Amino acid sequence: MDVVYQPSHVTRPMPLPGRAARVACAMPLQAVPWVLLALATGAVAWAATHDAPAATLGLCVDRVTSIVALLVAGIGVVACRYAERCMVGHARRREFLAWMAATVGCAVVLAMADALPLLIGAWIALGTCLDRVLRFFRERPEASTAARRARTVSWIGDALLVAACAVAWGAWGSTSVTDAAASASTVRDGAALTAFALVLCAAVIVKSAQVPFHGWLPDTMEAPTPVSALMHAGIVNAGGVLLIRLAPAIERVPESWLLLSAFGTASMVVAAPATWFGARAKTALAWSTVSQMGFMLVQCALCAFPAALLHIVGHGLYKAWSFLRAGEVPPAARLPAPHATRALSLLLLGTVVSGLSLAAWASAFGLANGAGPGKVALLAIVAIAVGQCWVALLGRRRACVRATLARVAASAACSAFAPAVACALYAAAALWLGSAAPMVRQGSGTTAWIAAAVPVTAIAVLAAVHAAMPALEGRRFGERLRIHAMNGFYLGVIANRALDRVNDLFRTTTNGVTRA
Amino acid sequence: MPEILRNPALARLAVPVAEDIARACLLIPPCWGLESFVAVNPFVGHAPTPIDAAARVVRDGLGASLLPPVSHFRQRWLEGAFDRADVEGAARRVGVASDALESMLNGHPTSPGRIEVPSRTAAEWIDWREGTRWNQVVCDALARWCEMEHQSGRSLDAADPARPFARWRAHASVDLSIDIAGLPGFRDEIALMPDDPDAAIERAIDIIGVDFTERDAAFLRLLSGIYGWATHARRIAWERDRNDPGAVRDLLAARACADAAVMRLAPSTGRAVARRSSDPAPVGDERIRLALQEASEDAYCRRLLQSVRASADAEPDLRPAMQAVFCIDVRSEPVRRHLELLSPAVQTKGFAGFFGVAMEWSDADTTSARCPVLLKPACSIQSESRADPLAAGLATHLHKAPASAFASVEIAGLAYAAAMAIGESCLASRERREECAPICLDPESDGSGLGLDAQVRTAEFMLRGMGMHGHIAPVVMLCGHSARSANNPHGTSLDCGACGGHGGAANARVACAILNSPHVRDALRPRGWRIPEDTLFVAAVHDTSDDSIRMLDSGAMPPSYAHALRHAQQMLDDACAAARAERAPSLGVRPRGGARRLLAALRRRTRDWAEVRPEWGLAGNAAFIAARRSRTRGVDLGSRTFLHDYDADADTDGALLDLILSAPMVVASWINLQYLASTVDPEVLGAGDKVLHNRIGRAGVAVGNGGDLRTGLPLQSVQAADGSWRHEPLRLQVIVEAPTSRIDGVLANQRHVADLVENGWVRLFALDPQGGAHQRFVPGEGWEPA
Repeated sequence: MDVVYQPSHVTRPMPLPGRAARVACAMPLQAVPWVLLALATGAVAWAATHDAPAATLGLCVDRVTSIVALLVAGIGVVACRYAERCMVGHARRREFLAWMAATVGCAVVLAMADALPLLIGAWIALGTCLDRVLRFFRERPEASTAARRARTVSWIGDALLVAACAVAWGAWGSTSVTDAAASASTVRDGAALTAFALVLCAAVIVKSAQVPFHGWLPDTMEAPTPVSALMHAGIVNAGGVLLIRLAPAIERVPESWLLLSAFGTASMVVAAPATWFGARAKTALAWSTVSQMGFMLVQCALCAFPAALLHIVGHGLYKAWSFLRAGEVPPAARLPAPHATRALSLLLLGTVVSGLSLAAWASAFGLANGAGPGKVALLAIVAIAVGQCWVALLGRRRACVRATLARVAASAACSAFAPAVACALYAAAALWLGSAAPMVRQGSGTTAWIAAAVPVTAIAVLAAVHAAMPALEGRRFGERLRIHAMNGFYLGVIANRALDRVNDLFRTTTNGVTRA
Repeated sequence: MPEILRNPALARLAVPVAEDIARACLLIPPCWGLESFVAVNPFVGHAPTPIDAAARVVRDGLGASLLPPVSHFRQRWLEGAFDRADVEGAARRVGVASDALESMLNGHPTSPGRIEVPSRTAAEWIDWREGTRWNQVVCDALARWCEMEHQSGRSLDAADPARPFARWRAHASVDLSIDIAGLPGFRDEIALMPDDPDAAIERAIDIIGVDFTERDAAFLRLLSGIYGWATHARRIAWERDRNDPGAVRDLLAARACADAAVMRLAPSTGRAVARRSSDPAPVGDERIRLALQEASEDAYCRRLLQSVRASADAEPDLRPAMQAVFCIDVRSEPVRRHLELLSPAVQTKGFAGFFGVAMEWSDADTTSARCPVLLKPACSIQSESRADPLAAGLATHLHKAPASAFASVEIAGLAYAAAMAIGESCLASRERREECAPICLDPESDGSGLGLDAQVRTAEFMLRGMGMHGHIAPVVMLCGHSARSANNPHGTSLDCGACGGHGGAANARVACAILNSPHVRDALRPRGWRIPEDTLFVAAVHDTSDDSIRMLDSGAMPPSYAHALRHAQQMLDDACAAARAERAPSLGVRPRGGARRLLAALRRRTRDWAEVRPEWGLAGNAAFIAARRSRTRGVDLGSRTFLHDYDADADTDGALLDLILSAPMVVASWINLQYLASTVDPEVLGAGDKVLHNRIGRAGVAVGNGGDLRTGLPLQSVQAADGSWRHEPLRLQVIVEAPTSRIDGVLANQRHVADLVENGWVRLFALDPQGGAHQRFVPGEGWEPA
């Protein structure tokens, strides 16, 4: 009587594992990120107790490299564990996990590499590993098109980094990052220093997916989710880490401030609105990465390196978490849109109040002495950020008096304490980087003022447009802005066409059609 | 056909385009969003056509397979899933030669039954000749526009004063992306088109040069480029009027205009003349597939009918200690079986999981319909809202606003590290508010609530539907079901379809509140429903992800029932443990280390953000049985059957059978065809690989970067981790324990049920209420002994 009707499944022949997979089978994959995490934790512990960096085996252990290695390895552990579970059932799962582990390994080595050949090698190897995981679903034509563009951009970045290293080696005989940083802070050879700093900045701009080299980043959703988490959290920021490590070169070359500030600002302006209107969860996160990296480069342009490091760590954690839970369906609550004038006046008021509170806290934390353009700009951005809490909290009208009072109290608390947290974190980051690293090391002068004013103005305008956006819906300006912003102001399309043309020039064999 | 009719200008006079447009648009099924992702029959528009003819239309228009390929059947044949007798019977009914089928199954090449002539759009023609990707470019642009509309809170609703097509034209005349991609002048071409969708389609097909005999195929082909969003638009129209194509027409107009613009602008060496492919490839005929499908279903059905008890045992005339009413969902079957095995004094029943309460549920800021999508909510029930939506809104605002987006990640960086650790260690669990939020039944001034009359009507409907004619036990449990999963866009596809893609707790609670009300019981008495004084209705919810059952509102129950409820809970726990041990291995979870470890392992999966197979949902479903439970009591049906209680003797006028076949059976067939389509063609009719899903607001998911909204179920919902298929594509085998004359009466009454049965979308069997004989309904011929 008891009959079981389990469907006797139609079995699909499993493809034979490729060579890479066979190699991978021999290695306990799960262990790789964990070992790296343990090593990075040790490095952080060591760096915390030693002031001077230690260089060994071509690797450098100091406060910057160890903390970044810890970040990358930590996110790597989560991403690899996640990948192991979500890829269950994929024929080439082990191959994928092997490439993931290799990617994490390359990223950690890159974060800590000291010897220039090792740095270049890790930089190129990381690009290659990334290319493999991005192209993992090779049967999908979209995947290979996106990966090809990413690869071309990556090559441009590789070439620029090689050029920067060549300048350091040719001009100063540096063979390691530490050497180059030391030389950059002492040499008097202005031309070589300027060339080094500018080429380095260009390499970082390309590798950090800055406009107009950003188009590939929102196109990498063809890769499984954990790849995105790892890439956005631990790889696109590798360039920024290099800038922090070679900070003396940036500090001494004001032209590099302008370069970083211009590209960083442009990326924020292009990418931030794309995140407002993007309907696709993961694509919007990718756009957000472009703008966040833009902001990080602006911090580098202001020579606020402790803040940039803080941003790299915080953004990495935030972005990895956001990607890994991107499938969560948000609640339907649609709040009524605030009136434009109300939103703008709240933003202004909130910014002013928070700015005052911030100034008080900054002086309490000893951050206010020697206020230059960089410091003013940084604090202004934080003040605007806290002002936006006011728009979010008070912008929506609600009938209930108690709720309104609670929100007013919340806004006041935001203005009082968020600046304190920010100041404490900046001070802590500066302390971590050592007494030699004040919060902002930028000089003053016209160049510095321009490099600081451009991003602050851009952020202020963006904040105003964002606050007024709900009121602009349905208006001609709002609609046009939405359409153009959603397309990333077409820079991605134009750049992709150019990249495809470059690809066509270099391509020897082709499988897919990439025109258009 | 007279030559003169080939002239498009004259042809247009012959058949109005508007009719062709509406016909093509109505072939698009509705598709619900992620907050209530109910199963939909993807071929609902094709129901009036026979399944093999529909398979041809679907193949040529959408490029999708409706029936599995011959290779699938060949494999099943080699595995011994069906035998020669099955093939012969099926061949006779479908009308193909059985020896030809058999030689095909034994590995001889498939004889080309028909030449495939897929329709192609103008852009596809140009792409094919020039190696370009214009079709993809314009489809992606249109999909992006739909996304933007969805994101900004406007819906693709043709009833909107600003018609979607007009909005699209306004958008397309601003958006520079196609111009920049290499078609300068695209915006001007669109601006030249008429404002009315029908007129625009007419103009566009003039430009493309669609012959009037080819219109249906051409329209469907155009729509296939934007299929997912078309299903989304159809759903919006469906909720108002099921025969209204709504904004699907607007999307077709936009597609046609874009295609015409590509045709005019794209550099091409020649003019596209033929509208159909000139490189026809022979395919296995759909009739052959249908015959093989019948054969493989016969094998399943034969064993199923053998296992159904030949005669219903006379029910003991004793009052049961507990009655438990479950949803007809296939996942209820193992729990019911194990519960009944525990004690002969337990009786279980199957009824649609909304328990007859077609309601709209308001909770905090959201309102949702909690009834099958084929019904409209009859009442509105409010729960007390507690959550402040501001917290979620604040986080979104701060993450998107410039400046705060930058500063917040610096300030809260370490909090995200903690969040990631919590997510990775699967600690976060969520409570469902509908399981505990206080509910208020009394009518309110805003129209919510249920008056006494309405409550009595609902109660009577419930009691009749559940077949509560005999004894009513002291404890009657109404058990809805819901599923839990983390980070799963398609989480609601695992919930109760009868509750509109939500958990069943709210409906069970409202139903119990009605049936426990003394006023309702008083009012029921004169109508012939005698609920004993000591009977208590208890709401419960069956968590299908870990097979556990929780009683709801048990704190509010009279203390005199404490003992009985504790006993009931103990039995439920035992039954659930047995059901869990039975179902867990298919998920790859081995019942090692005791029942508690197994439950913990399953619970962990429901909280795991990387889990792509939290549970199997309704995969494997194959049959719908409307019969007395005594026919199937104690039989292991393998979690593959929808079980609805039906007692032909108590249903003297056949009204209940009419209801069962026209509502729960249709819902079951929707579910069945959804799973079938997602298994047979996961690329076109399924939602693709979960690791590539890119959620689009609350509308659905896309796969990877670009492209359309995806309909159907993810690959991981029907495919097991070892690459085998968890769902076997069988149509629904409907087995009804009733005289054939009464079933014929329903078919004559209900056009849409007759469509499903006569066109082969489900297969119908009648079980003689007096004995063990079964009869099969053969489309076009009528009943024959099975």
